[in-house]
Amino acid sequence: MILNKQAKAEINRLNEELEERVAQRTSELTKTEQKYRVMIETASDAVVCMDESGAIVLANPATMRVFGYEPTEVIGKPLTVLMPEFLRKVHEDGYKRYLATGQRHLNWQGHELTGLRKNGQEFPVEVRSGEVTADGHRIFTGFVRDITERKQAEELRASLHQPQGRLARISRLTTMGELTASIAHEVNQPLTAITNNGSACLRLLANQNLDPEVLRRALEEIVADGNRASAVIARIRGFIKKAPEEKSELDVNEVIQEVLALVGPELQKNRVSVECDLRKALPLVLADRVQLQQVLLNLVVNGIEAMTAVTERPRELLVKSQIEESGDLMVTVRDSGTGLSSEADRVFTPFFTTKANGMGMGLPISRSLVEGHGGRLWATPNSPHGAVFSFTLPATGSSS
Amino acid sequence: MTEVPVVFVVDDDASVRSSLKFLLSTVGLHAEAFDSADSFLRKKCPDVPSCLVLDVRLPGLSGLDFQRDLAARNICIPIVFLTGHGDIPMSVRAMKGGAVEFLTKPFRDQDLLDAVRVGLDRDRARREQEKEMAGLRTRFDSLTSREQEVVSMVVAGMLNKQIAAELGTAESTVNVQRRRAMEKMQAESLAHLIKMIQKVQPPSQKAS
Repeated sequence: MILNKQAKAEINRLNEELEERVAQRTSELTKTEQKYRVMIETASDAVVCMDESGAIVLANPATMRVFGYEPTEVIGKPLTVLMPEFLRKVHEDGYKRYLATGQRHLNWQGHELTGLRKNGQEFPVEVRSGEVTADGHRIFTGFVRDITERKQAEELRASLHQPQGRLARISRLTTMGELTASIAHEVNQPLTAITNNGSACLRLLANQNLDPEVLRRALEEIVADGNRASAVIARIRGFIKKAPEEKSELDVNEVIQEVLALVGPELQKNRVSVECDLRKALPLVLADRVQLQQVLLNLVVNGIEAMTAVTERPRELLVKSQIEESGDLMVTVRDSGTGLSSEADRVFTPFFTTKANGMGMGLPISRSLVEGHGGRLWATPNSPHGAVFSFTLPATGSSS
Repeated sequence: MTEVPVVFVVDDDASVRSSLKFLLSTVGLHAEAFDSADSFLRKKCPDVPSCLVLDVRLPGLSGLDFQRDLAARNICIPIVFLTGHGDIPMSVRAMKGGAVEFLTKPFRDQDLLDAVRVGLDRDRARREQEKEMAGLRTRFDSLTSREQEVVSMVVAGMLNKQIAAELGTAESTVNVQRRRAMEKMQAESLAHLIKMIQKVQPPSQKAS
């Protein structure tokens, strides 16, 4: 009896304890279920579950945002309603094969596919899949993410990067074409003088009328003009280099002077005065000389062109090199031209141009060249008139 | 008295200027050189046959603009263009504007000297023509208005009798006026007179 009583009490206690544990577990499960439900319901990706027959058994509210279907509209329908025609057969075949062999035709950890919205629009999606077995039935879950924006961004980035090398080459060729005219003139002047002097001497010689003093003067001029022509060639040699990229340690001041010598005729023609404020003993930079020349040439020519319309004030170009606090080099090209108005950074957008015959590629290419050297290129307004273009280049540690 | 022709050289390069002067001097041509279109314009041109050797690419005004400028000012000096980078459209424009030649630097000395000679010949011919026109005009202006009237009618093919009837005078008076006009115009024949009057009097002003 006592035992019975004791046993009964024990059973009761155990029963209560069990009930308590069940209640606790149930509440826990409810909490967990709620937690997951909330997660599924608020997920920004569409979550769609399908049973073994391929019918949709669950769809979360995001399904509306992603596919344009209310969850209730798709439940009971085959999963293939969410796919464009060309994917349906692939899906059905792959699914059958998986059920039969366990062989997956997709990477379940994430696969890019094409989705079909209710309105018939196709769009890129990324799908992650999972599988659970409950009561002997298999349920497949798919997390579907709309990646339209990501794809667009990727395409844009690819389009910006891929043709860069080509554009840089074209730009170099165009710049070369423009320079050719200037170079032809520069070299042809001394050559013309040499030929004229030589021809004149030959004529006088043929007439036995060549005074030694006249001959001496002509020869002196011929030698001087020969030297002049070779100096022009030496100055442009850097520009005719064929190598696509050849980084070496170089002195930026030297490059600045080469470029200024090259645009000398342009500066003169446009009555632009140049001032150089070059920091002595500048640290060397590791850079491609041609590319650096191209960047500087572009900035200087832009500066000259921005001042052609200026008549009421001096046309002044200031080229400055300095060392920043970080130890990096900074080069600034300052003009007194028409300025940038409010579109300072737009000038770096490809095909943006303020010139009648401009391509709008000079500054974007210059910026990408500077960035290729680990530096930055930017524009600021000059005070009171004009614009300032500055770029930085990391120093190598050696000094010139 | 033969006029000493002059060749003007306009080029911004001092070496080119002095070498051109030297080259032209070897064929006995006198040259004057200028470093810009402006400095050439400031110089008073002598009244002798002349020719301009002009670089297309000049500081400030380009050679082609300068050519147009000269035409607008009615200065018709023959131009030989020099260029360091001659392209076809540029040379076509220059030749259409009446250029004698368009030479690419560096050029053959003979080509330049030939072009300059053509230019000077052209200018000489133009000057002679102008001189002749001026003489004709002076002679024609020395006729009395009645003599001018009579001459115009003669050129139009009218007989003395018809002219007298038209003007309401005696045929003998017309005869005298006609002979006097022939003398003043220094006409050797009727054909010569007609040729001269046609030059002086544009067709639209001819008497009907």
